[in-house]
Amino acid sequence: MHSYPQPILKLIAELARLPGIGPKTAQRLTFYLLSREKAQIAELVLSIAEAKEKVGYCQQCFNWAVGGLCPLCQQSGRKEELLCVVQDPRDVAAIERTHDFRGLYHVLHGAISPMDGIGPEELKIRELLYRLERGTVREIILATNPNIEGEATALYLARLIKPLAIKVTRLAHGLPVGGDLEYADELTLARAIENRREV
Amino acid sequence: MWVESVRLRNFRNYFAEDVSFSPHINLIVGSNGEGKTNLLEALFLLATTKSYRLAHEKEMVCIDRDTFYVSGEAVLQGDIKHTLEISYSQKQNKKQAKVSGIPVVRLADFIGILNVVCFSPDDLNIIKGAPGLRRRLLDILLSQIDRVYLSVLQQYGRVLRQRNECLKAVQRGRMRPTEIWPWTEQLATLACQVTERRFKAVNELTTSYAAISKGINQGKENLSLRYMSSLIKDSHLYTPTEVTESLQRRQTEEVARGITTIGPHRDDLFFLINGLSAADYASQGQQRTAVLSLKLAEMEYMYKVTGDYPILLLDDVFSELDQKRRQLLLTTLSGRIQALITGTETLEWPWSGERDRCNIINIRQGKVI
Repeated sequence: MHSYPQPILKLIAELARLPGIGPKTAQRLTFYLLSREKAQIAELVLSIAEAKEKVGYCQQCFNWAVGGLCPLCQQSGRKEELLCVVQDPRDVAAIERTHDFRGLYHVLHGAISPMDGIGPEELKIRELLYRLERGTVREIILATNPNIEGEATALYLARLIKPLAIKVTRLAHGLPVGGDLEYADELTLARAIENRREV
Repeated sequence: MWVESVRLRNFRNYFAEDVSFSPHINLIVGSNGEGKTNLLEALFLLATTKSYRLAHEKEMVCIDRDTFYVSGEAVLQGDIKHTLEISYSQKQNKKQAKVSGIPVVRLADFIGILNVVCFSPDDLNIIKGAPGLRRRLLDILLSQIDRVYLSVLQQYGRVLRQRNECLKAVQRGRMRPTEIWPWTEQLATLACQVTERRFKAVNELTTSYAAISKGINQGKENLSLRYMSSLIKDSHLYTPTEVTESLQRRQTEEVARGITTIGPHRDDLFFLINGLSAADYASQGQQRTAVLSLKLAEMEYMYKVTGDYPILLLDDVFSELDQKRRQLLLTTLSGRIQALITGTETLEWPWSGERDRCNIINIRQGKVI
């Protein structure tokens, strides 16, 4: 490594700071980039800068957006009275893939986790309450992750929202569809039995 | 169940060694520091993925090596064979486990395929030692036979850490008191699940514990166990709602102290002699009777739950037991249970007549000789 010129070392170090990229991959990417045409590199640099420049949070739901509102908030025919609260923009994409949900979203950008110093203040919760004050929302679906931090966030929100006379629901816990019962872990299975429903 | 053989690679002081066992009593003989205990540790690792000496994985890798590998050929429920493998790489700081060649997704799925009961010199302090030792004993026992217990316990531990961090943050004014309760509510549910499982297990254990100890002390004293919990009053287990209420009443105090003051992490297992606390006045001999009875009761309990006796690991405690207790132990084991018993060369094995029936494994510097 020490034999490389300074600019190469710097690029490797920068790339290695990216999530999921270790020193080896960073090195490989660096040499790949160096072997490309100048124009191609310029385009990459430009697209990174442009994305950073233009993309921000949606003013309403805090999903990624170019300009004021994200495409989903602008879409006509969305049910404004139904709001799905998620932790991450990737969760919006996941739910959108179902094509089943026609309401709007609110992205919290994380979950409450005192161990990591994340409290409600660090999340987009104040913005959510502000949004609810407008009175159009009738039901909130809490779609935070089914782990203890996601659960804590959902419980916290449920208590805040209930006094506002808005229906609060939580995603069901249970078995994956199309899977085998025998492969389910014990806790999921226990939850599924606990939350069984009449057919 | 029993283990036919283990394969050790770069594990502790074993560079490369394969060791075969008999399904009955195996005497592991060697001087101090030759690696007798390491062999038992390997078996414990195959059952629980951890060291019973609370060692970190990197301490278990041979000096100057990166990765240890331990595998065992286990025979379960009479004739079902499984190869259990576990390896750890320091560089990747990663532990991997396989069952019959297939990697497990979560290490938790590996725990409990092989069951062990371990009796080491540390256990002799269990009655008078810190409560954490006794909780750990119950956790090791239950984790091996109850998958749900293990996941509930892990979740409880995580919620507890989050809640304590939250209490401290409130104390320092970084969070508001209203932010505690999502943790309180989750903690209450999990606390009840952990407590209920431990309580039931201790109630089951105490029956065979009382019977076994009577056999050792010829009925002179009545020995029993009791699970002492802040969530149990007059054999009634609090509901999650009651626990939540109780935690809310304590909130001011808990914020001031920055810790959660009730729950299974504060509970204890009481050893009683004629209804009185053994921790207060049990003699050395009475303590030994109690611990030995407990270990045998653990084996009976595991048998009752799984239909298979666990493997007994006796680390250097045989010499601590007197003739009568040794005899009882051997009678209990005879024919049904695989045991790995360590001792120094100088130890006079007590049952010279039976010695021939034991498989003797001589260990010197990480090698079978």
